[in-house]
Amino acid sequence: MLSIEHVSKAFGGLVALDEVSFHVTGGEIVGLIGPNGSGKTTCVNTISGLYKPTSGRVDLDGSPLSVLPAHRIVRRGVGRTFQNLRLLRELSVLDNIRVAQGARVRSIATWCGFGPQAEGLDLEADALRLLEKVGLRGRADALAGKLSYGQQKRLEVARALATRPRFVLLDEPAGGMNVDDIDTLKQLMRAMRDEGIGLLLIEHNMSFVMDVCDRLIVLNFGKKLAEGSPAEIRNHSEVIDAYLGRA
Amino acid sequence: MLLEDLINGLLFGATYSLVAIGFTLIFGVIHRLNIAHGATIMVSAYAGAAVSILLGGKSYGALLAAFVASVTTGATLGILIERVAFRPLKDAGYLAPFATTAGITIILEELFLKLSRVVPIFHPEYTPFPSPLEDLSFHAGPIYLRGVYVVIFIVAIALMAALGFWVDRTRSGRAMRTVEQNPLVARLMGIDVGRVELTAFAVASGLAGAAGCLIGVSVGTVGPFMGTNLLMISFVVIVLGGLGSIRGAMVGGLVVGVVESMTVSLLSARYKQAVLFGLLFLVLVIRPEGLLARRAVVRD
Amino acid sequence: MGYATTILSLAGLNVLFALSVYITFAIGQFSLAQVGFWALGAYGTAMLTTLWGWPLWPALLASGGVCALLGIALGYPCLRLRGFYLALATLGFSETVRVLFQNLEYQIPLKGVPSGPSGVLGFRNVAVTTGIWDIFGFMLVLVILLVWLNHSRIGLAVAATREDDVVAPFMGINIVFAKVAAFMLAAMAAGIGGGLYAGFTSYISPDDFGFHMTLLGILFVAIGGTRTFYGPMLAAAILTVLPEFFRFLAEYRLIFYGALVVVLMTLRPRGLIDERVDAAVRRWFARKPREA
Repeated sequence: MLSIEHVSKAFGGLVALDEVSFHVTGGEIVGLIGPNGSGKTTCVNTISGLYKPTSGRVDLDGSPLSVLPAHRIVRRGVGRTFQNLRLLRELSVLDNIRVAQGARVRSIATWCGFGPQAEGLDLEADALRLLEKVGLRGRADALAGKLSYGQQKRLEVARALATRPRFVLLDEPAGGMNVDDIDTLKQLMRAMRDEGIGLLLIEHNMSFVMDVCDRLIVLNFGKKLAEGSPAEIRNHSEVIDAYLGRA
Repeated sequence: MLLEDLINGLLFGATYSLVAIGFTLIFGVIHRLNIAHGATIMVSAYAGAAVSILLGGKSYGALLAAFVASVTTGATLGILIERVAFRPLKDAGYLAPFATTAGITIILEELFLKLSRVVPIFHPEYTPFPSPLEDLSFHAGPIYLRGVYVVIFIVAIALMAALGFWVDRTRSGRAMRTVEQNPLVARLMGIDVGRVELTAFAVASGLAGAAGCLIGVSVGTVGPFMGTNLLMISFVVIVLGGLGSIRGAMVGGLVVGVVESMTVSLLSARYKQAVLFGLLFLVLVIRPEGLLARRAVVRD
Repeated sequence: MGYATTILSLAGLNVLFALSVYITFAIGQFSLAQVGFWALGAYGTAMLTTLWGWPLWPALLASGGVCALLGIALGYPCLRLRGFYLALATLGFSETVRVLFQNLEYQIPLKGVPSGPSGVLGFRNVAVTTGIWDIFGFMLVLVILLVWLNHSRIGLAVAATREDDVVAPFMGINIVFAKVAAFMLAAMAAGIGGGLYAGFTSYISPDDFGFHMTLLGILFVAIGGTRTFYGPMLAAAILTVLPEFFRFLAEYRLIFYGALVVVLMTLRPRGLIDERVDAAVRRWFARKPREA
């Protein structure tokens, strides 16, 4: 279980997160929603290790995560995607996956080697299977920068998956996607959930959120405003006020 | 004595400000470093020295003519450098103009090394820059100020004030600031970005020319490699003041002038470079964005 | 020493310098500290071989080792600097080293003659211990190392760090380790290169290691291209050997050199070995069919 306990994050005088607490278990999709500027991205950045919390802690199965540097957090099994896509554009699609697979490599000997087989893992086959899953198998050798926007978003997710995470933080994965791509994304996310991965999703596309999430957490001005099922949240008066600017 | 050195350092530091302002102005507009800035100073200084020598070097008229020669040489050279070393490499990343301006620096330095041996009015190694200011001095109480330093300080401040006026109050200056902040938006607003860039180069290099003349007059000589040394010093100035900040360069130059002067009088001239670069290192490690930058980098 | 051997040795030394500058560029760091390490290696090796009679390679490894440690020490504070600021800080380091040697006076009598570094005057009569095979042998070692790193998973991690060091940690890459390791390797390569240089020219002075050498390093990677290690090697070789064919230009040689640089850069703005050439070379080497 990924637990966020009383996490606050301040930048100088600006308090972006204020004593936020919630948890994510494996096999569920949790949506993190709220008006613009409510601290959703800061929250994901803090969990994934881009920022260190000013106070509070993030734990994974009881052991502290927030004291670790970002690359160790990834190796513990918490992956993420970026809203504005941080792909390695000059590398091929397959190489993007290969780089991320490095997170699974434990020994120096493997780092120094060339082979796809390492430590009993068939990394190359895994990489191709992963690309198959997101529908990019045919573009394995293309430069990541040359893919279409929808394809790039899928590669972003695949890259997060390549680290074999137990939890994935998705930062606006559906932004700018057309209906077909969104359906593919939903299928992908449900498949991940069914495999036991816990997903935390930031998304503005409300119909997407309501359809795919098991549970919702609402932030406003850096504080947790509400938590519940999509149905509960949809009718929650304070949430509606927050979105309409009355809060 | 100490106060005297401090004031002299402050006065001379104004020339460092001029050099650094030109360098940082170019960076602000095209986000590239003009390594040939140093060579521009050097060539302009030689132009000024030549005019001064040819006109006898003892009248204020000759000095004024030399100054004009330096500024126009600088501006012209700046435009040439923009056309040759920057314009063709717009899409080539930051390293390419580094190389072309380095190449131009090599060409100019070697050219003037050769010229200083061949042209009769020049001398190999150091060519004198005569001026009527050589024997001028002021006494403010017990403090002895070299007249030259006072004059160059006044001229430098006047130039910086003029620059400030141009940047804040004129249309072309404001256009330049717009391009600095967002070239795409500037283009959409109908600003001719190419012309702004050229103007920035001309102004910055004109300032470099002025600095070349002022430094040549106050030191008394010019040499083919004077530009490189000045460029290194302006690096320190820019780190102190923040890259891209004109006001920072202004203040930074004065600070560096004082530090240099203090080092020479308290330690020895041999440690000048070491102290300056030690200072640069310290500032970069503690506050990379420059001492005078307003926005601190969000470090997380 | 024959003319051809001399030119090849000089070219080899420049290639080594180019490689040491390339190493930090490969990971995305614009570092100009290699000039300082070259100087340290030169003086260190010169003193060990000339003043205390050490054989060449132990002296090289000792100076190189010290440079490696200094490279680590320098690499850590430089982690928080980027772009121009990193270039400046490392330039500051190199300049400080140069000033250090401008003030270093340490002489002991050898066969009655005082020998050793004498400040601004430099270090004369350094023992000539470098042979052309020392230079090319070390170059071969470096090249093998770089090729190997390139093809291993480490190479992928380096490419990722260089392309985007914000996302690289999220792929499990320890960028602190990677960057400091690159600094260390570059420092060591420069240190050994500098030692070989001292043993070759037999006279070193602080002015050898100034801004102009820094410019040279930048020229090698700019003209050669920063995508591959062999690009800067090629640029260094060309820029050393080509001017020799224009010896008849006498004092105008360096002017020609500067013009050559400007022309090369304008013709090939992304370097001699840019993305297209690099891709073509890779394709040529990867001509076996991919397993499905």
